[in-house]
Parts: sequence; C-alpha cells; structure tokens
Amino acid sequence: MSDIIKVPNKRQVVKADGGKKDLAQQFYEGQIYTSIFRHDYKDNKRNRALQIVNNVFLHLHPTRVSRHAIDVGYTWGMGGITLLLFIVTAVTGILLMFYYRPTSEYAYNDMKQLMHDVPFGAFIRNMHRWAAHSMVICVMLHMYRVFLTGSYKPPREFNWVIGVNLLVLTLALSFTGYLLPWDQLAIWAITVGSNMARAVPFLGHAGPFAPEFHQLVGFGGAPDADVRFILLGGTEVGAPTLLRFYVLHTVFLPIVTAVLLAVHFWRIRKDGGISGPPMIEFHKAVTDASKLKVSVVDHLPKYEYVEGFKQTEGEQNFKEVVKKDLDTLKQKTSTKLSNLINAIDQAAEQNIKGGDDSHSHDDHHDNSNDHNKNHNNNNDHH
Amino acid sequence: MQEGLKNFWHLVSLPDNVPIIGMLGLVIFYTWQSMRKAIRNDRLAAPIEASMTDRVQVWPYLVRIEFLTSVVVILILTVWSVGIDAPLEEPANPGRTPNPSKAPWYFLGLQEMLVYFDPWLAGIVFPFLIQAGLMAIPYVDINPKGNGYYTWKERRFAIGFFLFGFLILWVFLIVLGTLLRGPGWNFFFPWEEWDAHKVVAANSRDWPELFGKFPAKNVDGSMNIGHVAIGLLSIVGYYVAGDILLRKVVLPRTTKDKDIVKKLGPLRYGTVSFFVLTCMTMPIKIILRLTLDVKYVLSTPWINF
Repeated sequence: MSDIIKVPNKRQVVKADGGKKDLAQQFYEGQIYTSIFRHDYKDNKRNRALQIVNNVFLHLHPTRVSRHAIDVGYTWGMGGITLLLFIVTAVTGILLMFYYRPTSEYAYNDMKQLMHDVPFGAFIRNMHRWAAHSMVICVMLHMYRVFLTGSYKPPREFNWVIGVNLLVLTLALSFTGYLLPWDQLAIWAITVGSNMARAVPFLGHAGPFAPEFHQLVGFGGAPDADVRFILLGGTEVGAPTLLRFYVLHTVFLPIVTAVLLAVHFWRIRKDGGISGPPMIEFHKAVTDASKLKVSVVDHLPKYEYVEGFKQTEGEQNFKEVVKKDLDTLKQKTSTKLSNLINAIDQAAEQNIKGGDDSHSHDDHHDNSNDHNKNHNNNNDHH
Repeated sequence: MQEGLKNFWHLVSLPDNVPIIGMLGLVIFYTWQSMRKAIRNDRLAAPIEASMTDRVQVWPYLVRIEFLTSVVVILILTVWSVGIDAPLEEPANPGRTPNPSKAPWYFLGLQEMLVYFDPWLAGIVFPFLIQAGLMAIPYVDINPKGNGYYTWKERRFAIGFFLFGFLILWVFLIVLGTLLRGPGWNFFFPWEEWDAHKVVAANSRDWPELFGKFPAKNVDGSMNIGHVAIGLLSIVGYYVAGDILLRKVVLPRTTKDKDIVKKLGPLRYGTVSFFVLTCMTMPIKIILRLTLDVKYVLSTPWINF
C-alpha cells in the first residue's frame, strides 16, 4: 500500500497569475485560507472527515457515528447541553470577576453596581445564574437518560462513576456560588446547608460521638475545632467563608470539573461512542466488555487514507494499485499459499461467471502451476 | 383562599423558582417520552434503535444538530436573562433570620429529610449513601439486556426502583420544599396563606411507646431497656423481613428469574439489599410520622434513628 502514502501536496505555490481565478477560488485556494484549514473546501467524503480530524475542538468527535447517536429523541442531547451551559457559566463568571470583590465590605455593593450601574451587568449576572440553575437541571436529566437507556452497563461502568462525581461537583459549584451575592438569601441558605456539617459523626461538634472523639484526638468536639470550622473558616458564615467559597467556586472546583470532564469525554470515545443496541454479531460478545471497545488505530487511519487516496487518485487507480499489491503479496508467499490463493480466485471467478463447474479440481491445479511458473519468472525482474 | 392562591402564584413566579417549574415540566415530558419508547420497543422483536446502526458522517449530520442546539439554548438563556432578574435581597444580616430559611433548591430534598431524621442522618449519612449507591449501580446490575435502548419489560426492577428514587424521593421533595413548605417548615396547601405563627401540636412519640410504657429515658434519667430493646429489634427485624421480601418475592418476580439472587452472588446481592432497604426507610419513616406521629424508631443518648 505504499502508493497510497504518496499524496501530492495540494497547497498551491504562491505566484502572481494575473487574477485568472474567480473571487471564491482566490479565497479558498489562497495562502491565508489553506494555511488555517489545511484542506480544500470542496464537499466530498474526505473533506468532511478532515473537517473533524483537523480541528482541535471538533476532533473530540469521531468522523462517523451510528445513526442512533444523532437521534435527539434517544439521547435528549442533555450531556452536550450541560457542557454548553458549563462554558456559558464560565465565560459569564469570568466577566463578573472584573467587578466583584469577595470581601464582606464590598461584595453586596459590587452586586448592586453590577445590577444597576455596569452596562450589561444585570444581563451577564442573570445569564450566569440562569445558566447555573439550568446546568444542575440538565445534569440531572442527563443522568436520568443514561440510566433509562442502560448506558452505564459494560463497558461504560466507570464513566457512570465519573458522571456521579461530576454531579456532586456541579452541586458543589452551585452551592459555593450561591453565597457570593452576600445577601440574606445567600447567607442563610448557606448557613442551613453548612449546618449539616456540624452533625458529621465524630468530626462535627454536634454529631454523634464527637465529645469522645475529641478527647481521643483533640479535634471534632468543639465549634472551633471541627469539620464545619474548616469548611466555614470560622464558627459562623462570615468574611473568611466568603473568601474561601470564592476561591473554591472560581478556581479549584472548575479545574477539578474540567479534568473530570476530560476523562468523561475520553471514556465515551474509548468505550465505543454513544451507546446503542449491540450489532448482530456482537450479541454473542455482549458480556465480554473488551470486544465492545473500539480500537481507534483500526478505524481511523485506514479509512482516512483509503478515502483520501480514492479522492486524489480516483477509484479505478485505487483498484489497480490494490490488485498490484495483492499480486506482489502472492509472489512473496510460499508456493502452496499462492496456489491456494489462486485456486480461491479462480473459484470466485467461476462463481461470478455463472457457476460453471465443468472443470475438475485437477485441471485447476495444473493451471495454477503454470500460472505460478510465470510469476516466478516475473520475480527475476524484481 | 384568595390570599393563599395569590401567595402560591407569587411563589411560582419567583425568579429563582422558575427553573424548578421548568425542571418539573421537562421531567414529566421526558418520563412520558421514554416510557412511550420503552413500551414500543418492548412490543417489537428488536428495539427501534437497532435499525439505525449504519454510520453517518459527523460533519454535517451531528455538528449541525449541535450548532442549532447551541443557538437555541443561548437564545433561550438570552431572552430569560433580559426578562427575569436574578434575586438580590437585603444585605446579609447575621442578626436576622428569615422564616422560612431554605437551602438552595437542589438541597431541598435533604432539608425535607431533616423533618423526619436527625441532622447527622439526613444531612451526612443519606447524601453519602445516595452518592455511594449511585456509583454502585453499574457493578450490581448484571442484566445484559437494555444496554443502549429504552425498555421496561427487560429491566423492571432497575427502572422501577430508579423512577421511585428519582421522581418521588428527589424531584417531588424538591417541589414540595419549594412550594408547600412555609414558615417554621410547616406544611401549607397552595391555597393557604403563609402564617408565621401557625400553631402545630408537637405531640410526637417514639416507636417503642406505641407498644406500652417505654419512654426513651426513665423518670430518673437512666436509659429504658425496653425502649432500646424494642427499637433495636424493630430495626433488625425490618432489615431481616425486608431482605426476605426482597430475596423471595420482589427480585425474582420483577426480574422473572428464580435464580437471580444466586446469580448476583452474596456481595452484589448484599449491596443491593442494603441500599434498597435503607432507601425505603425514608418513605416508611415519613408515613409513620404522618399517620402515627412517630418521631424516633430508637432513641439513645448518643444517636437517634
């Protein structure tokens, strides 16, 4: 298959040609376009594949997916929508960071300024809050859909575990962000939520067996030495809590979420893409997880190279090259194997011609021996 | 009644509650749609999705769906953000507690649990068990069917239990906590006005007291042996009886497989049994509280169940 690799360079040499091409051609074949996109604009199978493979964002996807993977009635699209909402909250959040200061003196007034003075401040803040609420809802709907379609079953078990952790991270992101406006709603909701922390067994000062544990290790039984104190940075929700939650909300939790998202998407590809009913021959392997995984190496380069070669050299040329390579292969294998291959070829040809089996097997054998001698002669030339 | 309904409408139209109403609508729609597909798939020989296994190119067939969806979602968000302002109430004042004081809406299910269980159970143990139970699902579900299509008949137990846990114990409790819980976390019907001074008789008793004179503490302050005995026996008895019910009736009948427990093996079955039975203590406790005014099943100086 060595001929396939020699694809001629499609990039035009820069030369002044007096404008013989029309405007569209000049644009799509010009240096700027071809330097960015590295493939031309014609609509063919190869370019459609390259649009995905050559793009750092899009090559999250494979070049082809099965038809049920694009069925929104099956997938609901909630996973993708959740990712979109995560990006929207991140972008609007970063914009809000230009005006918001996480201290008890400034937080509330900065929010007031954002809502009333800053141009589009109310719009960005509203979008941040509604995208955040919607993200929590979409994460739950995504979990709902994955469960109802059994898409956590082998080989996708671990991806479900990652997903549950992403759910908890989403709730934590929402919880830490809830405090930041520093109004009555925020501070009391977080007080109610974090009061749970004082009831942790052993480690919370109002939890079961905390006094005994405190006597043992010196931690857990006092309001200023328990897990709630660590969470809040104090015995009540106050200025340290605000700063702490701000760092968690804007830096730490988004980074952890992004890392887990990367693993989540990686596992989708590795486990075979969007789940679907097993294909007929895979019914037997439905409990053998390793057989259901998709090997990228087997699928990606071969398809792309074959399609690419067909595109540039033409379908007929492709068949001739394949035939030439197969012939070379036949010569290089042993005599017995070549005879076998020839026999199979001739039997196939007989079948195609109309099932004429007047020739006996011995006849075939003799014919193939002659054939082989010819080939051996050809060998000398190589 | 007028005032109450006006109050209810005010609640429903609060900016922060609008997503919850939206979530309710979406959950109802998707439940109906997935069950419709499941029933249709169950009637056919092969699920509908199995007829769609040929491959199509991502560009354009998938990316155009993604593009249109992004445009629509951002459009909805834009209109929503221009139209409805996010809430900003009075500045934080540690000296004044609003009544009711509610956690963010996604934790309202847990806050509702605080009515029936102590904080360490409702706020720490249950969330931890929910997370652990969710993570355990793929490892205890040995049913190879239903992988990649909607069904009901082939996964009766799994889908039934999940629907109960998600729709009733999660979504319904969020809606309850948002719309039907008022000052003092008292229950108010939609047409009732929120009365901060509503008087509710607090005449709850403990489970062992239903069987005789077994208070949690004796008159002299010491622990009542009978109380502890009845409480412990009840809890152990619940798990034993529940396990027998699960093992002999529920699992074999819903999975239509007599040997399902043996196939699961002790580790998997033990996990399923523990999580299912512990999860069911929630609705059982709620029913006991609402009908018999039972506060604790077992009350000790250290922990109360």
